[in-house]
Amino acid sequence: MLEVKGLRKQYGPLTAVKGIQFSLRPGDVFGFIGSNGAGKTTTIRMLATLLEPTGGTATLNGVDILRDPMAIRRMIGYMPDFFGLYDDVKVWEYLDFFATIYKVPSRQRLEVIDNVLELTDLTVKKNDFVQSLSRGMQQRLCLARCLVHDPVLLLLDEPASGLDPRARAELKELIAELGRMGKIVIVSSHILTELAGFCNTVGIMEKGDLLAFGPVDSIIKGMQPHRTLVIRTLGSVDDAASLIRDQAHVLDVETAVDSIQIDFEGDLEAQAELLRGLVLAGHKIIGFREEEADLEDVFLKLTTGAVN
Amino acid sequence: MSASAWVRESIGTYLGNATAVRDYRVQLRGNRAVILWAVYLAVLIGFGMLTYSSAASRSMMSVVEAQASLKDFYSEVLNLLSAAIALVAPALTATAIVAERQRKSLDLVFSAPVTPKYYLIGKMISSYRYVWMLLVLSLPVTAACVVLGGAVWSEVLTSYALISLQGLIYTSLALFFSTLAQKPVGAIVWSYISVFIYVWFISGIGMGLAEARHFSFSSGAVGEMPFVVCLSAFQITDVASTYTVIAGYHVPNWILTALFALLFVRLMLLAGSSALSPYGSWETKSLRLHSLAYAFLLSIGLASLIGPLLTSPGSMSSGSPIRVDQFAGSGLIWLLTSLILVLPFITCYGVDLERKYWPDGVFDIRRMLMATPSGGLPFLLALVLAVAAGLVVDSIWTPSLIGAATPAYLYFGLAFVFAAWSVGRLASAFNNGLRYARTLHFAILVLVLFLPLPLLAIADPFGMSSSGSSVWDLYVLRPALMSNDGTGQAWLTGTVLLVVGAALVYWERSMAKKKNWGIEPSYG
Repeated sequence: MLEVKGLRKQYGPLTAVKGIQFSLRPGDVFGFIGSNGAGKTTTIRMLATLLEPTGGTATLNGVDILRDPMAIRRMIGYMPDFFGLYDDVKVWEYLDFFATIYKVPSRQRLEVIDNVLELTDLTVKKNDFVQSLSRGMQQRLCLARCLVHDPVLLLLDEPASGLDPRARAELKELIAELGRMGKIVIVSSHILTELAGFCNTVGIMEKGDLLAFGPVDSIIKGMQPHRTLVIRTLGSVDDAASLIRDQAHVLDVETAVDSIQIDFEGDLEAQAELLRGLVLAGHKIIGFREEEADLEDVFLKLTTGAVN
Repeated sequence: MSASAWVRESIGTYLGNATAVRDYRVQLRGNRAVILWAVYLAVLIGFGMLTYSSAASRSMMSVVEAQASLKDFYSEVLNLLSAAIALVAPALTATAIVAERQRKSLDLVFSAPVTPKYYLIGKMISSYRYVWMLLVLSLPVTAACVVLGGAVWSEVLTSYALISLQGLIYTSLALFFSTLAQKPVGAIVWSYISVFIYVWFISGIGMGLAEARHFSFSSGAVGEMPFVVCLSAFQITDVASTYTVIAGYHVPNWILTALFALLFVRLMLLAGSSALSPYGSWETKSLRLHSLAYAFLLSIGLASLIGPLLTSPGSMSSGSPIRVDQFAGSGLIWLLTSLILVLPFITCYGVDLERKYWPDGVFDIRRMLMATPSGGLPFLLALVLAVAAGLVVDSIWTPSLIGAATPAYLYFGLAFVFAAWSVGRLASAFNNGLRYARTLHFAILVLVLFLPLPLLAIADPFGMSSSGSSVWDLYVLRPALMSNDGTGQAWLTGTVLLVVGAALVYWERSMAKKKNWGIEPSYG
């Protein structure tokens, strides 16, 4: 279990991270959302023990990042937003180097390398030089590197940046699989569509503050307490709108050329009742749907676009 | 740590080091290695052919002349090797860490459970391996000298050991600068500068001591020389067979040189590890403890070398011994001017970088080994006292080392360190950036110590070492320069420095209070 307690980082007069706190359990895939400069990378680097916090701390399975950074490093896999690959090194040699420094026993090393290569679908590239791999493959190799010691927590900083759509889809599937394997995965990104598919928890960060944290659905619900219904009719939009205004649970009605948008506080039963009332009143309804907010809407509502 | 765990860790660090294995695979891959070796061999063969053709052009040569010629050839080959090592070792090592920092792969390594020591030793093995390859490749040339009678194998092996030790020292210096530098060019430049200073300084000391010993031991014991001469890069053939007499035993100098080189390398590795380590690391504590111990031992070593010159009437070409206060003055100049290289790193603080550099008070003796800013002054004072303690210990065998001037010079040394430290504190208080503060501190120290020299020399060309009143009295190192008794001047200048230092600290404190550093006092 990862517990972040009041983590803060200050660079002179600039506070990059302002005492954030959250906790994650095994199997959580946490999407860290924020604009460039929001403090995501700083937070991840503090969790990776590469940066010392100015205040606060974090514990992973009860081990404090400040008190025992070496123990923390054995439990984490850190993938920064750059590759950091070595030239003139073959894929297996690259993984062998990291398996050695993570103290994977020499007898198990080759088997571990084969396993992570298979997981990341790079087995056929085992004897290739790392600089000859495509960007997507290099990214997967970096992920394979993070897995050689079977970490508890994976810190992935902008893992999909610069990848083509296919490579991005493959990486998303791989990260989701890691979550299913019971690892805690923290994925930072400012591309929201990347995260929506496979994260079960998200945190929205701006100017060092964690503005929202929790499961994706509850954050969206929290941001949007009422339902937004969109109705399309073949008849008079104004007549239908005046009828709707008189119905229960309707808070507000806006009309367009051929549709009506309703701010509605009722449940699904009340929605069905509203639709039945319109049909019984003779309106020719050709569309009735609930408009669902997504992460992008929530993000835009919560943040102002300001950066540190 | 148990003995078996220590053995396992040592084997892992020195024999199965992952960094060394990875670099080994890379180094010998591709055309670079082949080209490097080919060029190197071509230079060696070309040099051999040139020397041979110049010898062969003489129609007649006696056996003695031929052997002398071979000895010269052997000596020149070794000098060439020394020069090659001095050129190649820093070039190979200087970018070892800084290139990884630029490539950002250093973060990947240090997010794994890797200690800086493990990583630096791996890098050192990688570079040092090249030094040995250069030496091994040159063996056919030196073997020819042995076969033809210009040298014997024991000389060759000792000389190679000494050259390889120099290579080890150069490698450690370059590796240290590689950990500090932000850009490869800076690392390379500083590495070459440090190697040049080392060669120049050690060669100077070695030659001076060897010459002094030669005069004082005219009885024929020419093989006895201070081991420092073996650290000199270009005297290998002359000093390879020398020895030092310790407690009546003839200890070969190459053994003492190896011991010195290993201690030096350990200090450099600790310094590099400390630079790469976070707040409160054992590497930093170990570095500080080693620095104090080395200062103490160096003081004993130098005093034991110079001690006989203080008492032996024939030790100088002029026939007069060196006076104690002259010795103290020269020692102080070396100590204090050397200190300006490290003072900015020990003194300055800033909140923009890691926690170990954050302001945490003015003076805290408990943090002396933790290397935080409040431990800076206690450490500097301890360093001066360690040097003084070395002299006191040596005075047991050479009582003339300690005289009436000693307390005055010690007072002056401590006051100088205090004043120089206070400048660094004030430079830090003016800035939030640590690097800027260090640069400012270093620049001020250089200006204060070196800028007045030409101006004062113009104003009073002969006053620098005179004992009378002079415009040189305004110079901060004046007590150490005086040829006659500088005791009074040492007390006076020391007091002035204390007052100036105290004023600067007061100023720094009042500035620091106005700034909100944004650091939680309760943290940690």
